[in-house]
Amino acid sequence: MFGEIFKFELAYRLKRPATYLYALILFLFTFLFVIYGSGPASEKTNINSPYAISQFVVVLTIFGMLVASAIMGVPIYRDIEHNTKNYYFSFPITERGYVLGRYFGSFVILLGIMAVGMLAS
Amino acid sequence: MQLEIKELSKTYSNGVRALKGVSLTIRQGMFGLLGPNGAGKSSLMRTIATLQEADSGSVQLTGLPEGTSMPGDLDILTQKDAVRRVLGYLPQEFGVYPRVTAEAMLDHIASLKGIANGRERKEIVQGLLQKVNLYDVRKKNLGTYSGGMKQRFGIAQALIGSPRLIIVDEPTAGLDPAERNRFHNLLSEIGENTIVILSTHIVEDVTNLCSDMAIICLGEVVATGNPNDLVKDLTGKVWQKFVEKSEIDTYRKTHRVISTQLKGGKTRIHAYSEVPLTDFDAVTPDLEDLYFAKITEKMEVTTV
Repeated sequence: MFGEIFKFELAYRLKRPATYLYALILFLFTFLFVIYGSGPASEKTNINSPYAISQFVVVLTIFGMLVASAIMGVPIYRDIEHNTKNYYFSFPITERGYVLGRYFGSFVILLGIMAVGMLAS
Repeated sequence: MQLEIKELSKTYSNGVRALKGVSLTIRQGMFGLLGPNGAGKSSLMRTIATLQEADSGSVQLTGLPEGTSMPGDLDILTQKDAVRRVLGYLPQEFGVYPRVTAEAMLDHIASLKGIANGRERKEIVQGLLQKVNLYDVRKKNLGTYSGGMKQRFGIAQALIGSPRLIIVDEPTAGLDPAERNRFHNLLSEIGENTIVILSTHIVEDVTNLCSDMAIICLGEVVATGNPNDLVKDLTGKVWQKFVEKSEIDTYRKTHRVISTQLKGGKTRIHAYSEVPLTDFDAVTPDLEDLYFAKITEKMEVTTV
């Protein structure tokens, strides 16, 4: 049950352009900051020092929060928004499989998007 | 295999009593559920479809054949998961995920309904898409579908996994006549070895399709049985007369007028009476007369 819903959620997300758009924005944001040296590193530290990178990751996650709310807010709400709840819940699905499948499906996508953002630094 | 509903009651939190002790026995085949808007049809169907709880009463699905997930008897109100494995439900109102293709969505639903084998699933989905005449548009997103196409998608969704209990709530709303016929043929084909509960307010559909029916009004069953037998009981009790529109009210006071209808500029009234009425002509009753006769016992119906 979990597997089916998880796979469906992944496929659904991967087909949406928004997923790639979020990843691209985060990537560019990080990438541009780092190549122009406007990161948190001072003149006497390396731009790619572990300290500077971890500081910048903190900044990145602040923006990541916006993405997270956009991605993680809808997996369950989607059934109400599109009025599919009227028949979706008449299928032999378990509550746990449904909620967790939807949650982790979106969560994995979110991890992917954040990873792309991090990659740029 | 039959469905036994006993003394089912439901009161919503806003005080509406949707079902007041409904008892019905539904045998294999097509079962028609007639009733005015707000009669409790959808409440009853949603309860049978395990989507809402009843306050009291019981619903049992007895004599499920071997080969289904749970042969034997099922209590619909408690064994929800087992019931859902043999259930196909088409709600009155439903939506779709706009950015998923019909094929992908049906495939997902098929896997939820327990068809694990990918190839088998594909075959079932293709077959169904052909049956509901959506095969050509199977790769299009559901969001681009017209109302009738969405309705047909809903029908396909309900038929996945060869359900034993099919509940369809006003399935032909929004379908053109050709599609409606197609759907009726499909339903009667399936209805031979399953229980199909069909709710509608198109009286004619029930006459054509159903071997059994019930009329529900204000949460109570007011008539149940074979449509032809029910109509036969009414023979010689329905009378008609053409009157002026302004006279309707006076007739309402003196007769039990069950329906009024405009026919070529004049108003035709049908009245119910066990004894012949003077000035009225006898008519052969049809299911619509039965429907109105039963409904007017319970509530006022104004058609003109």
